[in-house]
Amino acid sequence: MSTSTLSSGHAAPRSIWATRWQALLHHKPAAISLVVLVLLAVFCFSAPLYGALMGIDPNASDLFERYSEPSARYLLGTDEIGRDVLLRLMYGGQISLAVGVLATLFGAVIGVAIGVLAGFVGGRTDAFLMRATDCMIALPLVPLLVVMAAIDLSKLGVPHDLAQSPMVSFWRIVIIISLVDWTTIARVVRAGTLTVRGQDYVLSARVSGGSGLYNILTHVLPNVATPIIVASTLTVSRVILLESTLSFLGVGVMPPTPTWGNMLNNAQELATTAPMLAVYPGLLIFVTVIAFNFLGDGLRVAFDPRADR
Amino acid sequence: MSSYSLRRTAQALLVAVIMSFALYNMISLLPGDPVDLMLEGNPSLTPELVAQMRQLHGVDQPVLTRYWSWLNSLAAGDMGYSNTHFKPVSAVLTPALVQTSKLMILTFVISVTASIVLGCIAAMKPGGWVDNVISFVAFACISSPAFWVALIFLMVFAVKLQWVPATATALDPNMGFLQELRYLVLPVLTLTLFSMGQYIRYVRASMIETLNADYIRTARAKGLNQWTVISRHALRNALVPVVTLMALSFGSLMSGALVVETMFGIQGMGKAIYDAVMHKDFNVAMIGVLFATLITLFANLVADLAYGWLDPRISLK
Repeated sequence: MSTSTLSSGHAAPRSIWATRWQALLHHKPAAISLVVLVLLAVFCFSAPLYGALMGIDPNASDLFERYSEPSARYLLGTDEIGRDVLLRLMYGGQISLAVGVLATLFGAVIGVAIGVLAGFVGGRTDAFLMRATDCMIALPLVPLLVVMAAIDLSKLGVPHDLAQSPMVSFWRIVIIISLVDWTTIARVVRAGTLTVRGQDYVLSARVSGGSGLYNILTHVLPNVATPIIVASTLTVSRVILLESTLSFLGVGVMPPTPTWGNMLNNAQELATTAPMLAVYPGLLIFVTVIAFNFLGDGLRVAFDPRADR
Repeated sequence: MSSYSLRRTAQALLVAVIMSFALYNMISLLPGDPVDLMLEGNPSLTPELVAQMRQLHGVDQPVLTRYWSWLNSLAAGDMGYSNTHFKPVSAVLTPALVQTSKLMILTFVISVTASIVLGCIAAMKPGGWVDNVISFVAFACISSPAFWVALIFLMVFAVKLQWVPATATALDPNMGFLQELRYLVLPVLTLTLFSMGQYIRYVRASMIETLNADYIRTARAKGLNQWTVISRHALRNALVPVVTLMALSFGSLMSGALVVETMFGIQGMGKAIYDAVMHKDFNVAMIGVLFATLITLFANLVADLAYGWLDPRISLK
């Protein structure tokens, strides 16, 4: 979309995205959050570089270096088996962010499909799909996810070794979270589709013989893009919280792969020995999640000229 | 009963049946099966005997058959036997339900009261500094991982300051309410912070919208002060949509309860479910999760009906 906005005088016409970008930057919490998130991503993804620079392996344990205080070599000290806390925080962040983004992406695919179907077809299909969405929103997600995370994949025909691999433990979390967290996106997409469907230009496209799929691709999806972006941003924050909760409970991403959630897993027993081990990962989760929430809020305001500023 | 309530109730029943079947499938996909657990530590059993035991307990039947017989025994009042507690499932889950109810009711009362007050205060002057502070607190509550808040509370108030006990393992329903409260302070506080953020946002948004209505302008024009306008004219209408949203949040409160109970060692539904899944106690896991799901669906249904009753325009659709 490159519709130009009304501009007075000789000022060059600005694209709608430039206007939105400006509006986003004017929303202070969102602008700050954007900077924080970029910094966090840089922090997490510079892990291999940092590890190589300091010559530390994130999984190498050293029992002579347990609970060492922060030092020039271990900037945040070491954990209960002598691994560098800072480096594990960086790697853990990669996993947490990756789960957040990937599960949201998959969830968005489900949500968009359901929302477009409900909004475009209407009638009974709509009523059924929206009822299902309502139920999904109401369900107690953590108990259900605990059960889903514990499912033995070899009973579903996955080879035993593969089912136990770290890669599967990662993708399993991504998939089960995306299976339950598509609801917000489905709702906004349906609402958007309903509005677009009633517009004259869609009607004229239909009358001219445009097929349903053609209409969805050319008219509906571009026009529901902004609510999808907003809802997805807010979904990322929820997904990161869910992943960390599951990993903390010991049913998420399995150690030794670090995530911010499973780094807190045994922090409870270490509360007296090494309290800071419990502080850092939680603080990073909190900062990441609140940043995504503020960004989502800022995007909502920036994309919607009528939103309260 | 109107046709609207009837339709909603029928839908809820259908969903309950579908959910129970989906859950039964998921539970039977958990590692191992009931016979495996009986065989543990008994190497003298021959494969033929194992096969016989599987047959005896119906483990070799297709899932649909097993679901049907499970449903039948449930209808007869038999929820099965817990293989970790060595008690009938009902004897395990009834005290757990009482414990969770205490936790959730206390939390709900406190967080709803606090969020109505804070939400209204924030809505009085949207964009003002008071609103900004309250909105930030709400955002912070939504963004905090409940388990981490619980962990920090434990470290500060139980380990460092020793004001309250760190775990509720010594919690006994017969110890008297005040004693019990000492164990429940931190769990309730954690769960309140966990749920309050969302409630504040609901109340604030609904209140701002209500305060823009014409009848509020009329009330203001009559010369009523801010307090009277909010408490006597706006609050009731503002809370109508909030009631539904709060009932919808019941499931997330249940999720929070699982985390908090596990952290503080409270023997509630959430911990019972978690322990059952971890220790392959299939019957407890099945009934526990099903019950949690059914309660949420029921809360959802009640909210729907209440909404239709509070706002008659809805049920005319």
